[in-house]
Amino acid sequence: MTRGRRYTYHKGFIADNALDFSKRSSFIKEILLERVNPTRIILPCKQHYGVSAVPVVRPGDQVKVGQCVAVPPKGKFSLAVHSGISGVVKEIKEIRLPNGIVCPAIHIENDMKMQRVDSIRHRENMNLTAEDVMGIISNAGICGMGGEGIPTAAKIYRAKSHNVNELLVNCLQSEPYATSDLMVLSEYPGYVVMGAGACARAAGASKVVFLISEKRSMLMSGLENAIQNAGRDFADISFEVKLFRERFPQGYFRLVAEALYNVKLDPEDTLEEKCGAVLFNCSTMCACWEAISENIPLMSRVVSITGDVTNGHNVIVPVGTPVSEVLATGGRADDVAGPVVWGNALTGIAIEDKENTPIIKLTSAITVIRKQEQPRTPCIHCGLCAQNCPVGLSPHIIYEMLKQGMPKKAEEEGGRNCISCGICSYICPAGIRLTQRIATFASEGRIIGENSLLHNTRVQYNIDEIGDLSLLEGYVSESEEEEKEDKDAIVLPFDGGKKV
Amino acid sequence: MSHKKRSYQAPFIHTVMTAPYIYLTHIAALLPCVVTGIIFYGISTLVLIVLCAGSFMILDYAFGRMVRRDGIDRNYTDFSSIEAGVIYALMLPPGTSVIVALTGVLFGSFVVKQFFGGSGNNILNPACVARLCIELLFPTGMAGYKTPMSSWFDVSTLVRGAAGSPDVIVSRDDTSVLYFVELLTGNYAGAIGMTCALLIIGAGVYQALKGTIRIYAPLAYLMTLALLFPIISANLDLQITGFRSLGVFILSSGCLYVACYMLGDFTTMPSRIWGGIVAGVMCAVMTTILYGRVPDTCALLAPVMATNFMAFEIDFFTKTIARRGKSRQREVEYRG
Repeated sequence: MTRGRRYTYHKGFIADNALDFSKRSSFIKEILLERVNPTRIILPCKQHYGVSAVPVVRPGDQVKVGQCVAVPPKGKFSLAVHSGISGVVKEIKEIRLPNGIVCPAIHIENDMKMQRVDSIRHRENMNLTAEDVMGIISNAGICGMGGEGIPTAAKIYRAKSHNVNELLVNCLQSEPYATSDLMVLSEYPGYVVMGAGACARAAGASKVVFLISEKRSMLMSGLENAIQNAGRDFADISFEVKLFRERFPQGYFRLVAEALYNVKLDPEDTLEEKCGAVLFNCSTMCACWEAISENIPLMSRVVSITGDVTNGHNVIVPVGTPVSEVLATGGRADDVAGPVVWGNALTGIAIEDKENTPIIKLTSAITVIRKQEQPRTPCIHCGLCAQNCPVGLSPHIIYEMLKQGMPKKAEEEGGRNCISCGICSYICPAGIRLTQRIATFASEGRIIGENSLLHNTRVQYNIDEIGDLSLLEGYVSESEEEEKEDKDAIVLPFDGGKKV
Repeated sequence: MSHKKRSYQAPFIHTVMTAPYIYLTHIAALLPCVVTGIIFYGISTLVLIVLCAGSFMILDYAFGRMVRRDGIDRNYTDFSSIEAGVIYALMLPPGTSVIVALTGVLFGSFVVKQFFGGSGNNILNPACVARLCIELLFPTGMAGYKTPMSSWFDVSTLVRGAAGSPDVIVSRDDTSVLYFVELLTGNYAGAIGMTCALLIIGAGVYQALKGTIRIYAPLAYLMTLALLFPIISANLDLQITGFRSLGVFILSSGCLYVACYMLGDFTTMPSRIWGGIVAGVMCAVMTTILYGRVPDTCALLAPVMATNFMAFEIDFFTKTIARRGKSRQREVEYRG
C-alpha cells in the first residue's frame, strides 16, 4: 500500500479554496444507521441509463422484500427493479421524475411485515466465473450509484473487453454536505473491498485502487483492515489506496484520469480505452458484494439528509421511498421554507412535490437549503469561472455567445462539453446563472444522440418481449445460456454498437 | 407531479466571494494608505479622497439608474466606483485643487466607465485613465506636493491648487538621498497614497491572500522592471547604480502601487496565467522605454492603459497557443 502523494486535477487557485467542501460535510459517524421503513414506496421502472424496465406485477399483487417487480425488456439496455418493502401493489402509473425521465412507476403500500423472498440468503457456492458475477450484478439491478446510472454489469463487460489493468473505487464524495458514500465506506469497508475484488476479477483487472480524499483519512484504518482481510481471498489482486486533494468535482472520471494518469480525456473518450482503468463508486461495490455474497438485490441505499438547516445524518432508505418520508427522519427539516433539493446542493434539482418524488438508485442526498438571494450584478469579467471550470471551458464567453444568439460559436468554444457541475455559477461573483444556460445548451446536443438510442421510455412492451426473468433467485449460470445471449444481446450505447 | 420539464436550477449555494466582497476587500486594502495620507498631508487630502470617491459613486449610480441593463438590479451597489475613486485620489499630489480632481473623476466615470456600458464593461482602469487625463490637461496643477506633517489644517490648496500654500513644493523629494526606512514609511513629499511602500506591499499581500487580485501580472511586472533597471537608470542618468538605486526606484517610483492596485485587477487585466505574465512583462517594458522621456506618472500609467487595451487580445492569443500545444500533443499521441 503506497501513500504520500496527493492527487488532483490542475485548475485555478482561489485563496479560500472555495471548492473544498469538506467543512460543509462534517463526517459524524452514527452509532447505528437508521433504517427507514416507509408507509409506501414509488418504484420508477427507469432509474438507470438505458430503457425502462417492464412491470411484472399487477395492482393487488402481494410483494415481498427483495422481489423483482420490473424486468428489462428483451434485448434492451435496461435493469431490473426490486421492492425494498413487503406489501400490496396499489397502482402502476406514469411518473415524471425531477430529472425529466418519464416512465411507469409501481406504487406499493407497506404492510409492515417485512417478509423477505426466500432467495435472500448467504451464497453457499462462491466459486463463480466472471460471467456468473456479471449475471448476478445484472440481475440484482445494480447501476452506478454515484449518479452515473450505467448498469454495472455492462461497465464490467466493457472493462473486460478493453483489458483494463486497474479497477478504481471512487470514495471521493466531494459534494457539499453529502457523506453517504463515506458512511458506506465507514460501515461496510469489508463489503466495499470484497465487491471491488470480485468486480476486478470479473473485469480482468490485476489491481484495485481506492481513491480517498485526504480530509477523510479517518476512514483509512477501517479500509486497511478490510484490505488485509481480503488479501486472503484475492491473493492475485493488489490493493492500493491513493489520497486526493479535497476539491469538487474530483470524482468525475475525466478529472480522475487527469489527476491519476495525467491524461486529458475528450467527452467521447473512455477511461477504459485511454487509461486501462475502470471507475466504480464505493456504494456500487458494496451493493455488488451484497448481491454476490447474500443474494440481495439493489433495493435500498444509504442517503444523506443534509443541508445548512438540518443536523445532517445518513439513513438506509428503500429505493422508492418518498422524499417527504425521508425528510421526516431529519426532525424539523420538513418545516423549512428553503428549497428541498433532490441530490446535492451543487448539481441537484429543487423539488416541490415531496410526497410523490421518490428516492431512486442514484439519489445519494436530499439537501435542504436556507433560501439565499444572490445579488445579481453585471459581469465583472473576472474570469474566475474559466479559471475554475474543471473541463477547461470559458463559461463567461460561452454564456455571452448564447445570449447573443450564436450557438455555433458557443459549440466551437466547447459549450457542448459542459458537465453541469455548477462550479461556474457557484464561483461567479456577479451571481450570473451560467450553468443554467450552458448546461441546457449542452444537454440539447446530447438529447439528439440519446433519444434515438435509449430514451424511448414511452414504448409499450408486450409480455412476450420481456427478457429472461431477471430475478436473483432465478439466476443460474449455465453454459447453454451463452448461445441465448447472442440472441438477446444488448447494445452498449457507449461502445459504438458492440453487442453484449 | 409538478415537474414539468428538466431545468437546471442548481447550484443552490454560492461562494462568499461576490462582486461587492471583492471591491470591499480592495477598499479595505486601500484604507491604511488613506489613513497614512491623511496623517502625513493633512485635512485637505481627506477632503480630496472623500470628494473623489463620492463623486465617482454618485455619477456611476446616476448612470446606472438612467441606463437600465437587463437582469440587473438597478439598486445594486458593488462598491467598484468607490474603489476607483479612492485609487484615483491616492495618486493625486496633496496640493491638487478640487476642480482638477473633479475633472479627472468626470473623465474617468463618463468616458472610461459609462461610455463602455458601466460597471464591469470598462476595458480600461478608470482611475488610471482619470489620473493620466489630468496629468496631460493640467501639468502645472499636478505639481502640488507637500512636505509630510506640515500645514496639516491648510485647505487653501483645494481651491487654488499648488499656488494656494507656501508649504507646497513644486516637485517631489529627491528620493535617492532618502533612507530606506523613510522610503518604506512614506515620510517624504509624494502623491497622497503612493509613498508608503510598506503599506502598499501589505495591501498587495492581503488582497492576494483573499484571492481578490491575480498575482501573475504584478509579479511579472516588478521582476521585469528589476531586470530592466539598468536601462531605466541610463535613461535617468543616475549616478548611483546597483541594488540601492534599484531599491529606491522600486519603493519610490509608484510601480508598487501600480502593481498592487491596477495590474492585479480582475476586470481590466488578462485572466489566464500566461496572459497575466505577458501583460506584466509588456507593461514593464513599456515603462522602461518611457521612463525619463515623459513625466514619471505618464511613464507609469500609460503602459497600464495600453496593457488594458490589449488584455483581451493577450488572453485570446495565450489561449490559442495553449490549445495548439494540446492538439499537437494529441497528434503525437495518436501517431505514437
